[in-house]
Amino acid sequence: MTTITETARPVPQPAAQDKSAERPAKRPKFWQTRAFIITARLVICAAFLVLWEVASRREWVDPMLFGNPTGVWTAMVEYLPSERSLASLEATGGAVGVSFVIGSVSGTLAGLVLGLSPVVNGVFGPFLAPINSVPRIALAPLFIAWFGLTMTSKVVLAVSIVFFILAENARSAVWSVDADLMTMARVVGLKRAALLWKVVLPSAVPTMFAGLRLTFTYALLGVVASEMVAATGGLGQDIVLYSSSYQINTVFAILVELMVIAVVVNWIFNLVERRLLVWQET
Amino acid sequence: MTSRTEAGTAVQAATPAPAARPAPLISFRDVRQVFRLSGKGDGSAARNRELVALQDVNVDIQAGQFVALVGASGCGKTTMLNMLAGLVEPTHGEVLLDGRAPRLPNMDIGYMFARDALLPWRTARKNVELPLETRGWGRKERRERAEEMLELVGLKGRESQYRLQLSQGMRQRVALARTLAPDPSLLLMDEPFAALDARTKLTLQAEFLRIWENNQNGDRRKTVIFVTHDLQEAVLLADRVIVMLPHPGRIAEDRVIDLPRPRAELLGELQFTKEFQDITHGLFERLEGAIGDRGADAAKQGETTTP
Ligand SMILES: Nc1ncnc2c1ncn2[C@@H]1O[C@H](COP(=O)(O)OP(=O)(O)O)[C@@H](O)[C@H]1O
Ligand SMILES: [Mg+2]
Repeated sequence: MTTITETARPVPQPAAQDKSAERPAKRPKFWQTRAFIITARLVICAAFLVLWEVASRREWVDPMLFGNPTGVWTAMVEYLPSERSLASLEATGGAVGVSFVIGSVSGTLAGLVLGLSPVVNGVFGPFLAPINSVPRIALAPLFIAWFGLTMTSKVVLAVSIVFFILAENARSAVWSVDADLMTMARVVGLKRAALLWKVVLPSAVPTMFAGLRLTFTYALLGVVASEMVAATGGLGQDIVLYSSSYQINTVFAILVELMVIAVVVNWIFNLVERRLLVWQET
Repeated sequence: MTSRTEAGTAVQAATPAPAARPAPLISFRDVRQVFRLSGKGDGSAARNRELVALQDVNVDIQAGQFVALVGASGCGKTTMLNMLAGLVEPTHGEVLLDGRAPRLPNMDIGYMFARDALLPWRTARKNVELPLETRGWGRKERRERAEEMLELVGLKGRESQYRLQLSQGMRQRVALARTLAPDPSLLLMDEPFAALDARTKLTLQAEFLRIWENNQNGDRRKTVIFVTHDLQEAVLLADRVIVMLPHPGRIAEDRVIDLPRPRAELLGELQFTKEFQDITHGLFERLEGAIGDRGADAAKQGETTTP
C-alpha cells in the first residue's frame, strides 16, 4: 500500500547509458582533438607527395620508373577523360557490376541452402573450403582459353571468387543464428518459410552484408587481374600496356581511379547499411 | 470456490466422491532424463558421458495453480519446462499435458525465457505481435493487442523502440507482454526476472502477479510454472513450491504456500512477515542443507562415465 504501489506502477525509466552522457566530458589534450588528427593526416600526405616529387626531380630515383605527382596529375587530367579511358572504365565497370550481382545472388542463395539443408551441405559442403583456397587468379588463363577475350572470361573469374566466399559466409550466417531466438520461434509456432523469413534471414543480414562489402573488392580484383592476363580492353589491360611502355604516371592515374571506385562503393555500402541495420547493436 | 460444473458430472455430483479431484492438467510420471555428452573437451580420448538431468520426477499440477520450481542451476528445471513445451521428450517415463504428450507448437502455451529472446530487428510492438502472427490475428487486431499489452507492462510510448534502445528491465517487460499477448492458459516462466536488479525485479514481480491475479479473461486463472533459483521469489509468488536438488536433478520437497491472495499489492511487506519467514526458512534448509552436506559427492554420482 505504501512504497510498493508506487514502484509497482512503473514509469518508463531513462536507459542506463544516459547517465554517462551527462557527465561533463574531460577536455581532450590538443593532440587528441579531431582537428589535430585531420591536420596530421593532410601533412603526412603532403609530405609524401613533396618527397616523391623532389626525389624524382633530383633523380634520386629514376623518374622513368617511379613517375612523379605532377606527372600523375597531368596524366589524370589528360588521360582519364579520354575516349580510350572511358571505354576501359566501361568495360571493367560493366564486368565488375555483372559479376558482383551474379556472384553475390547465387553465392548467397547457395550458402542459405547449404546452411538450411544438412543433406545438401553433407554432399557439397566439404568442397567449399578446398575450392575457396585455390588462388583463383591462376585460373585466369584457363578461362581465357575457354571463353576467349570476352567479358565472359572476366566475369567467370570474378564470380568464381565472389560465389564461394559468399556461399561460406551465408552458410555460417545461418548456422550462427542465436539458439535462444530459434527456441523462442519454435515455441511461438513459426515453421519453415515463416521461420526462415522472420528469424533466420533477418539475423543473417549483418553477416551477409559484411560479406558483400568484402566481395565487391574481390570482384574488382578478379576482373582487373583477368584483364591483365589477356583482354581486348579494360583498366587491367591499360595498366599492362602503360607499364610496358614506361608511362608510369598514367599507370598511377589508373590506380587512383580504381581506388576512387572502391572508396565510393564502400561509402555507398556504409550508407545502405546504416539505413538497413538501425537495430544492430555494435 | 472449486465448483466447476462440467457436462456429465450431474450423477457424480450427488455423491460426494472422495476421488472428485479433477484430473491434473500436468503430470510427470517417473520421468528420467539422460543427456549424452559427446566428450571431446577433456583432452582424454573421446568418451561418452551420460548426464542424468532428471531422476524419478513425479508431479501432478492442477489447472489454475501457480507452481514455483526452485533449485540451484543444473537441477533440470529448464528441462522440465522444455518437456512441457514439447521441445524435449523424456528418456523414460511420461509427461502429460491435458492427458496427452506435449507437442510443438502448442498455441495455448506462453514460454518466457531468462534472456529476453527479443528479435532485435523488430520494434517492441512488432515483437509482441509475433505470437499473434502465428495465431492468425489480423493486422489491426495485432497492433491494438500489442499496444494494449505494452501499456499493461508499463511501456506505453516505447512501442517503436528496438531492443538496442531498451534497458534490461524494459526488454523483460516486452518479453512478458509477448508471452501474455495471445492469452495462453499455461505460462512457462524460466527465471524471467533473474537478470534484473533487485528493485526492477520487485516491480516486475508485482506487475506480473497483478496481471495473473486480476484474472483477465474471467473464467479461470492461468496455470503458471515459474522456475527460479530464488527461494524468496518462489514463496512470494506461488501457491506451491517444489524444491529441486541437482546431480541428479530430483524433487526434494513439495509444499503448498498458504499465504493470502491477492498478494500483488503486498509483496513488499509480505517479505517481512513471520509467516513468510518461517516458510522460507524451512525450505531454505531443505534446499541449501542438502547441497552443503552431500552436494560434492552427489555431483560425481550424477555423471557416470562409460569408456
Ligand atoms: N540439450 C542438452 N544436452 C546436454 N546436456 C543438457 C542439455 N540440456 C540440459 N543439459 C544438462 O542437463 C542439466 C540440467 O539442465 P537444465 O534443465 O538447464 O537445468 P536448470 O535449468 O535447472 O539450470 C544440466 O547439467 C545441463 O548441462
Ligand atoms: Mg535453466
